[in-house]
Amino acid sequence: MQASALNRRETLGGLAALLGASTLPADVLAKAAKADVRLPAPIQSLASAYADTLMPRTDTPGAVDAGVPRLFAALLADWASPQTRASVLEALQKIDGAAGTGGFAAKSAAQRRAMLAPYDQANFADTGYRRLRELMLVLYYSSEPGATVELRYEHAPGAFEPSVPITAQTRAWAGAGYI
Amino acid sequence: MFDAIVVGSGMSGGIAAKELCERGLKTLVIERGRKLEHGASYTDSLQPWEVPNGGGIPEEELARDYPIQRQCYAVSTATQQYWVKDSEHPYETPEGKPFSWIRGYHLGGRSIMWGRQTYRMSEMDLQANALDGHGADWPIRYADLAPWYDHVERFIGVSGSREGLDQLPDGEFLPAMPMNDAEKMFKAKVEQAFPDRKVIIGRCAHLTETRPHHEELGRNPCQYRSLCERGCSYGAYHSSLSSSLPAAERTGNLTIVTDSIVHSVITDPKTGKATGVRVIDQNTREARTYDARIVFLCASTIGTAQILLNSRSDKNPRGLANSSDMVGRNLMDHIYGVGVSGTVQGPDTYYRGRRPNGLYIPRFYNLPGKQSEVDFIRGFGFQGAMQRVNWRQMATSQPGIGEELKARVRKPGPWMAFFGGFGEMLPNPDNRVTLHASKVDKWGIPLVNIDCTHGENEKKIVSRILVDGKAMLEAVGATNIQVREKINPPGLGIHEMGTACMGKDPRNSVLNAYNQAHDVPNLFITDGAAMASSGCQNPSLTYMALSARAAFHASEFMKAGTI
Repeated sequence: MQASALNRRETLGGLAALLGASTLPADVLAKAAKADVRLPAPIQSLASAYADTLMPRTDTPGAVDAGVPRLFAALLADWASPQTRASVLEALQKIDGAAGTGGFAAKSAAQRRAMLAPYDQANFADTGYRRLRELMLVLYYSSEPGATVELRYEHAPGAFEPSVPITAQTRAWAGAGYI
Repeated sequence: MFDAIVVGSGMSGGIAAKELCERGLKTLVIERGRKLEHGASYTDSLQPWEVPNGGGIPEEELARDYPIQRQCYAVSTATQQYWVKDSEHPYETPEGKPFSWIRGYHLGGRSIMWGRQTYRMSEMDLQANALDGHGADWPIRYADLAPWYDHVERFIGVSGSREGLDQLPDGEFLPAMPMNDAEKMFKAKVEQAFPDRKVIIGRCAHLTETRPHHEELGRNPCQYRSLCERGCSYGAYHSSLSSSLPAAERTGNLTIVTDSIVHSVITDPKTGKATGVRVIDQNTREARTYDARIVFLCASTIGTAQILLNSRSDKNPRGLANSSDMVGRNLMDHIYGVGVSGTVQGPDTYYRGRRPNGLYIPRFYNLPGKQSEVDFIRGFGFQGAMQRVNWRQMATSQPGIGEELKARVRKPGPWMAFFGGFGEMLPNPDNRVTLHASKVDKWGIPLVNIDCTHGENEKKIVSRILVDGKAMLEAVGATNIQVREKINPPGLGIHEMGTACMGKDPRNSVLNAYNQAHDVPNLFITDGAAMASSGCQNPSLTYMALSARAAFHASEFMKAGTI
């Protein structure tokens, strides 16, 4: 599934090649050069499998549909400190270890679900795991499908309606809370 | 040669420039940072999925360049351009006495990222120093400020409700923003349980409706986005870029220079009067001077003190306007960061739109004519809101995976109340900004040393905020009450005040009743530095009222030929 997910960072690198490097400003080139910072394939599949199990496709898009695995890789490259990167990757590898023979990514969706549900409960207090989980969830709910299809988002509501009845169809608002 | 120089383009400088220009004075505004354009420079169009790194500034960059700025709630990749790099703008604090100096160096200053809460000080606040002896007695009273509060409120646009409270005077308000259903319930229960408290909707510098004078400046009503600190392309909240500088510009009397750091005020040794300022270009480090008949310092509380102290001469060896030795002293900020939160059973309704404003509980201790029930002087107010726990907390605060987790986050969360205290800090001459004896910044200007700490009265206020906050949440039946007991370092309230205080007596104050330096008749200071006491209200409105008032008096003095 990850193979089909468009890699923005590869695209940026490809774009630079296409346009001819000399036409692009230095900072864009610098960013494109960083596109080489990618997760090794087995770790990327593990991240995808975890994201997919945490936020699967249901009647709405899941984390993989929303591009969370590649956003996660980009976040580790562009945002995380070496300590954070190490702790988050270690948390991923522990999941893989706990999955037993063949590893987490090789299992069926049902097997991954059956394994991760108790694992998530048992490891919720672990800092590295908590961070990993939070990164995936924040990326999902901040993504366009997460914010607008799973939840609801209006960039410019135009008014504040202080009292709206809650029905079975009501979805939580994405974006920042007010104040 | 200009008629007037205004140093700084933020909240105070913007209004000073507008008022001086409108009174016919050829005015030069000098901004130390780069130019920003209203609208074009803003990041408010970014959708949640377009914000780089989900808002997170790279951790190593954050630790290296923003160790202080990162403490501010509004710092993210969406607002990164508005905060100084601490690594490029160092200052010193004594061991064990941190001070969080939060800054933005660009045209418009912190008026771009401000919290927009807008409150008047009251007679009680302006009498406080005289009554309890802390700080210099204010040389003005509420009646002196009231017409200028009216004037500024009308111009900037302030949304609020009229409440008839002596400790928080009403103003010229645009329609108030509504409370949601849980907040209405909270108000009813708190006011019933504690008859001395009023829960009101926050007063904020947002246009809930526009008036013709707002529309003339291209300002539009609030869209309820709560992306305010990115800059608002609608011009819905007051900032120098959306409001005061455009008003100054249309008079034809305004000149702006950016990237120019004021090094010092130049004075004529014969007359003692200011003749202009010396600046250093932030990019080329080239030195220049600008001349004017009067100078307004609006460089922010600590920046203004730094300029005065650095304006040393043979005649004024400890800095300009400092015969009292009060320049740099009495630094204050509001007590900030202490508060409570809890989950509350509330009405089965939701809301639509992100209201960029909360609730306010005005000060209720030590009010005039009431017996004090507490062991501290002066007081505090609460600021907060009730809202439903948002997706982020619903998703990350408890375990869960898959379809069940999605179902949990999909529904609006439970109601949550959160309130923090904003407390008055006493003026204390030992809380002080000085210049470092040897260290200089990359423009050769001496670094400031900030030596400021909370005293006993502030600590007692903190204890009471916690006790009262908890009791208030208990009164509305809150569960899972969380208490934040740690007081933030001074500075993080981002309400620095007091380093060139107004006063009646030139021996213990820097400025007179017109914000005119006792020692230098054509030098005016109208930013937070002028504050003789801090009240517990967000102070920007008072800076703006003082700026407008001082601009009026300065132009009258010029006409009369007395300065």
